[in-house]
Amino acid sequence: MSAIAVVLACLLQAPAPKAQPSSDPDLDGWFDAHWKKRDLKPAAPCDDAVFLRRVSLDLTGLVPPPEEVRSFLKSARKDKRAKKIDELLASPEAAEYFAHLWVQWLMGHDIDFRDLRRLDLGALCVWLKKAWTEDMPGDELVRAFLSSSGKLSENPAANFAAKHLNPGEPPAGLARASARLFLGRDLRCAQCHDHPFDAMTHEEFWQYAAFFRPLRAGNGTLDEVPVRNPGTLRDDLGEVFAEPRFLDGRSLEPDETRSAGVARLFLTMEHDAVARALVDRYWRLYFGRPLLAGKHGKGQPELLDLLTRSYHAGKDSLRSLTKAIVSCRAYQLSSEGPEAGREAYAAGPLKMMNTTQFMRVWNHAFQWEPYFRAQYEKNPEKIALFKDPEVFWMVRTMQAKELLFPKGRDPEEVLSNGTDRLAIKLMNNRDIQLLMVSQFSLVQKVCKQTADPEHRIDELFLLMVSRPPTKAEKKALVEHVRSAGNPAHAYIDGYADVFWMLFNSSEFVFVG
Amino acid sequence: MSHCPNCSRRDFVRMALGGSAAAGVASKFGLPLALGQDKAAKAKACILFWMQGAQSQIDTWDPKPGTEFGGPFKAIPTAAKSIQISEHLPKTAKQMDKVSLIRTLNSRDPNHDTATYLLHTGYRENPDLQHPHVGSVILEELGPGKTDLPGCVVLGGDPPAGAAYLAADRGPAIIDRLENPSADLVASTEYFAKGTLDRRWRLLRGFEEDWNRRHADARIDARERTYERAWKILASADLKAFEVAKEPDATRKLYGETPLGRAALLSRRLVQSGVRFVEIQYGNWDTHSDNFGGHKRLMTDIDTPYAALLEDLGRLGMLHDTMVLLMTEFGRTPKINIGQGRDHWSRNWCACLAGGGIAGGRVVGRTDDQGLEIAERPVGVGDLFATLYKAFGVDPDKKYLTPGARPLRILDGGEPVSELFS
Repeated sequence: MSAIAVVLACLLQAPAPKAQPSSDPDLDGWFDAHWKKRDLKPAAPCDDAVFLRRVSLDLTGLVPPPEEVRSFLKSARKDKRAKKIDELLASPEAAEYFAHLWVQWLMGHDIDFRDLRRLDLGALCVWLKKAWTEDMPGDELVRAFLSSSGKLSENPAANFAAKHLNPGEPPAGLARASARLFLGRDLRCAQCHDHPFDAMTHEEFWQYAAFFRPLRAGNGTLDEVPVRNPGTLRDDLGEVFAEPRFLDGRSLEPDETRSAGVARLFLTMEHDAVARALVDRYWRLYFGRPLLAGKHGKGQPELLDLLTRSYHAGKDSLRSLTKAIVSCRAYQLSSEGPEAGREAYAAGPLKMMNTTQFMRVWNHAFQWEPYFRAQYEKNPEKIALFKDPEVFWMVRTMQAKELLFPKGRDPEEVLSNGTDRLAIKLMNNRDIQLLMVSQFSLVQKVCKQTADPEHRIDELFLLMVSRPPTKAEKKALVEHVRSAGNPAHAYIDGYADVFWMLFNSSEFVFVG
Repeated sequence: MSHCPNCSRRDFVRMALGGSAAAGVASKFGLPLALGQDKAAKAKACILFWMQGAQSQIDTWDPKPGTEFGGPFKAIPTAAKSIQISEHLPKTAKQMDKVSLIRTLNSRDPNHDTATYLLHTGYRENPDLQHPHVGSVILEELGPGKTDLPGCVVLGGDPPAGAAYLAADRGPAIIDRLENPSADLVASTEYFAKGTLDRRWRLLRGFEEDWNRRHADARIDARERTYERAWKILASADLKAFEVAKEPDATRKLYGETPLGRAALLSRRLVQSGVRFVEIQYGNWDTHSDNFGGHKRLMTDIDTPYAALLEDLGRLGMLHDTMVLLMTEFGRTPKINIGQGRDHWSRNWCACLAGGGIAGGRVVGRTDDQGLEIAERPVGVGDLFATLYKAFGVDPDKKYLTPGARPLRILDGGEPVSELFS
């Protein structure tokens, strides 16, 4: 779509009257004013191949299939980007990505085998997929996480609280996770001492944590039990005795149940804190930088206000919010050029794949599932893991996370720049090298599909970086395959080199 | 000497003595004497046995046999007159003249994650700031040795801290499996023809150049540097340090043909090839139930490799400048629970220090008869780190600039344990 068409499409969306907030925020108007005020010249729109890869990864966590790239590039329709956004939002892959993302956010990095036994993450995934498909409002989602209890298989949202409670320990983990996820606040310091920046005292942290004290996580259950002395909680240093009191000083109403009350306190917090944290989370997901002020800077409070208003006008729909963000002109700009341009939103977003994207793409690139099914076929105990595809997914993600996050502490950390260990494994790990040429591999698939070397190189490029190779690239790589590959093995090793090169490249691991 | 242009004359003389056993690691194996290092400091390299999960002090290094909470293990005499340790560490007992014990470490942090962080960085965890691994600090201050291998290596697990605000190449290189540490490092001919990796590397560099240039970005640059470091390791001749199997039979037997035994021998070979800091993680010591079964098994696992390393380093003349540490995140309750387990206890526990200028055969601190309270000479975690840094000649008051340009001292308080320096 040309730049003019983008502008036209934006102009056609009539700006809403001021008094009545629109569910369709005028992001393009906001950015025009932003660029003008700062005397910035926005970058050119990204080309179609880049757009398709960006929006596919952002909405489904997957790279587009080659046939989709081909037909998208071929299409002359003026509204093909908008159509593609609608198509992706309605796809089952988008629901699956939504579920995998939320499991990652809710559970943090440290899912282990014990969690797989005592929690019901399969049920949680199914429930989250349904939430996306039915467009469950964001505040209902938050309410479910904060107030569900009972059997985890029947009340899947209760898996969140169950994950963060440890028997015999005060509920500090759940208190921290709830504030981080639903308010965008990091309370970790205040658990042990008065928080230097967040104007929160040690005592206030434990007063807030006291709300979660009646919750008990059992095997597959989350129960609310009567607490003999509801007013006190000893923290793990044995120093604090706290009455339940919310972060802003409020308490439960006399006739209110704990579960309903806690959700109410969160959702009615001043400054619309829960909605703003959700909007910020989704903006960060697509733009890679926050709107909320925090340790990374002042954020963009005006833009956050605008988006939060339209989020409410759209009945708190995360789908509509997503659509508004990826439809705006700033999102669809080229991400090329210096970093300063991207920081000022004068160029499109450039992000490292997040863990969930990376795992989904990795799973696809290595055809992991069929490979491991074949490996484990003779082992009935392990094959049981594959009965529930969601659990299979968790196991693989869990194992890979260890590799991606050696420090494993910041729950909001994205893939970062990778680690030396990760680079060494991707370049040289035995299992990964074998996966690249296994009978299920993309390399074997492409080689079976066509005998033409140029066509094979085309396919590998479309599969991995969602664009055809340039002429120069194609020429050099066909040459490489001929000289490096073994003709007796149909040059497979030469094509494996190409796959290896693409897989280890920045172009692959960044959402550009 | 070209790798050490600013060495003092005294350093030069010490390095010139490289042939003698007394010269130890520094000159013999390519570690340059560190610039600006306190000249009194002897330690040049460190091997840390990290006892993951919290090792029980009463069942190991501070036995209380015959007392209410003493448990079933007997205490045995050691090569150091004043030290008795658990009967399940018989080989270690013979090396205790080289080792000193701190029996009164305390932190008031009974949480694995935060205490493990504290004992690896000297700092309490802070959500706004990551502190560097102690090995990264030592590497930064003493500088890397003459090796392509990373200067700080962790075997067998994930350390809780990385390079933090130091350069990424100061961070610990993690080798996750003790069973086959070189698995990812040495390309197996099973799946790679010779020259494959080299060919692929050249292909990647050529391919990436244009895209990376068009998207000028610090994260892309950092990723390129990560890959370059990884490649330098994969292509290095120094990887022969991993060929533990080439050691003489007698040496391999001394360390024991177990994953931990091979890792201990590997740690010596890594230090010999110029690595500053090696951590070996071993556990799980978190024995909330069946404490005695678990501790007996784990002590049996560590006894041979730990004792062998002390003996071997002594024999090779490396112990005077190679520090060997054995540490854990906290201790275990004196009180035995109904599952015959011991729980978390951060009021008093032990650490073992040897080599690198630390006197052997000494005991610092005393707990009361039941092991419930410190009776004499408490030692804080800050004091332990001050002791390590003193041994390495690292100035704990030196400040690093953290992100946000906030200067932060290498160590925030703590006094070296003077009794450990002769």
